Amino acid sequence: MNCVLRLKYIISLPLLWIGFFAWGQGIPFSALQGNTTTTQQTKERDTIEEKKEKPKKKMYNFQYAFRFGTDLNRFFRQATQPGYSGWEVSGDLRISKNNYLAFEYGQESKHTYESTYDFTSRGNYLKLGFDYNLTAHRYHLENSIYVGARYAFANYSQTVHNYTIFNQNTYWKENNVPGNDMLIRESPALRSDWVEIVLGFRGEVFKNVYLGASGRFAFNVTNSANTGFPGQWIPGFVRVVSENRFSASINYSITYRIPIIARYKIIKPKPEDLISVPDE
Amino acid sequence: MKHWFFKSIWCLPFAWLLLQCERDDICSDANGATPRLVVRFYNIANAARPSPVVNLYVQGVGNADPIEGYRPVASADSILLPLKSFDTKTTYQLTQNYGSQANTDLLELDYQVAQQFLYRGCGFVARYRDLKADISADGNNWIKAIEVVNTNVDNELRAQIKIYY
Repeated sequence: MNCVLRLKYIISLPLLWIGFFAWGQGIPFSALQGNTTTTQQTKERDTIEEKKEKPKKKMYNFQYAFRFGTDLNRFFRQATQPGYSGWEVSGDLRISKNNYLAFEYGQESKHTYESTYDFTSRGNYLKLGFDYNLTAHRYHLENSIYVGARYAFANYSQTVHNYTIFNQNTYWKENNVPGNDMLIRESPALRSDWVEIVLGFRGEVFKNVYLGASGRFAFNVTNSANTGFPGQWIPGFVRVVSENRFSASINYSITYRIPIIARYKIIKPKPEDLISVPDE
Repeated sequence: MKHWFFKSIWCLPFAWLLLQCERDDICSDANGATPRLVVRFYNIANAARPSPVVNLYVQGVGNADPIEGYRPVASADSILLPLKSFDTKTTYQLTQNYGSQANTDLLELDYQVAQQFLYRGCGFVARYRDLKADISADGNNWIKAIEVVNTNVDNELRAQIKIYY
């Protein structure tokens, strides 16, 4: 098996830690000062707020918000990888305490070189799905670790620039004769569908500005059949698929949050909404 | 942080590496690369099983060399003939008793070429359709009859042409 840890991934891996830094900044210092202090402080604050609040108002223990952003990894790839260009916008809408509707839309183009042929794949893709927040949502923090699922599809075209017929027998010396079958050269309307599982985390680095990283494990479900050159590099799916229907990739996202309902008020946080402090 | 997710998050990079595995970029005939034509020889008096042709010499018309493996002579009950991928016609000289009392017959092969994508390692390969075979009569043919068993050349597993002598 050709399990090569490619250079691009080596370069990408340190970027993963950006997200961890972001996570660290979001936790208030008071929360880190020990279990007893936190509870005490919260109790004090609770009582104050309870006094202020006279009539019953609608309360939220979370805030509806729309988040809109872009994938930094694709900018990075475009700058470093010859033959690649692409961008992605993403967004999510918080619909309940732990659930988000999420989408990604992007366009990509990639020139791939193989030993006997080279081709360009270009097109756009849309991913729709949801994210589920794994971290019990703490009070006023919006940092999260989440899992999600997406249904995704891409519409794209493939153009084979040069190809030769692979023949181990060289008797007729045709190994360098350029192929000219137009059905192979142009595949104008291809479609692929796949599903993705998303694991990610994000942290608020400035007010309403989030940095995050997510790993995406995708499984290709269907491809356009009956074409001279089936989908080999699918936009959004990231990789060649003829021999492996799985794909894994990483997104680094920067997103901006737009609150939809004004800042929430919490009168009495539930115990599970409080910051949990490490055991030691 | 007791959540199972935090405990198992270290697995992710490994799972990710595992999913990056791909098939070797090796293409071999066993995987169905461009096939050669399989020709089998039968003695017309006893066609139950293939019988070898003595001192067989095979050379493509328009090529200065005999085909691989028959350089210059061999006795074989079957041969593999490479077909041209960018032409619809390939002609071979089949010579019996090469060296003394040589008798050469011309085998003309007509076909359609279907180019197709196999997989990443192989890229594009050729398949042959509508195969027709003919022996041009020269008044002294050592080949008595020819039969196309399979008009499609997709692999080298079974004979497409039977030649009776």
